[in-house]
Amino acid sequence: MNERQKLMQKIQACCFVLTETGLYLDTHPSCRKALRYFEKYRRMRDEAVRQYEQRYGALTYTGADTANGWNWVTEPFPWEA
Amino acid sequence: MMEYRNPAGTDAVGMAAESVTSDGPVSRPFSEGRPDRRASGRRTRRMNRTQENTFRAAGDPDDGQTPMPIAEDGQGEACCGGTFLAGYSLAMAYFPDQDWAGIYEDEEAALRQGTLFAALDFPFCPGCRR
Repeated sequence: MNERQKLMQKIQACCFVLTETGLYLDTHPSCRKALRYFEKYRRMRDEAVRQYEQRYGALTYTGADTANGWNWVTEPFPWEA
Repeated sequence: MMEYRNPAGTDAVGMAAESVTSDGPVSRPFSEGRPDRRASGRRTRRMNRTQENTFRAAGDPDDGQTPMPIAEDGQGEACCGGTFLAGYSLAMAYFPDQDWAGIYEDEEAALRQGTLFAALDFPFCPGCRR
């Protein structure tokens, strides 16, 4: 597995944890431990996405770099990694 | 631990429920504990027993007032199936409150297992018994 794939896997795992924790929080909205856990993984996910997009291009439209054109279509799509 | 069940003839109108304990069923009003929205609002009209049976068998009609008709061959004597807990609603489910505990520390392991919670980690394994 190359670095790009490892980073993608990290993002996917963080997103999964956020989904799971979010579902838990739906029924336990004031659970402080879960809220802290959600925040921790949101930061991890945001940092991993930032690193990925800086190195390999946009993951979604919202990560597209418009300073040098529309790189969403000029660089490999995330699923081509 | 106490197990709650809705007895036949009361769940459709929301007037009462039973607690089933080791000592047997004890009636309790829905007003105990959390308020039951079924007790007020659109479905407060009392039904007679026949209407209730029809209503329960057919599910909740859109308008909440008119019992849905059920097919002829769905009425009358049961031709198969037992009488165990006859009169109770079919397929009542329960689940205990989940705790924030047993969280997998490795997020990639959680993704592989398909859950973050060890208590919910039941891999699909046909033929296995856990």
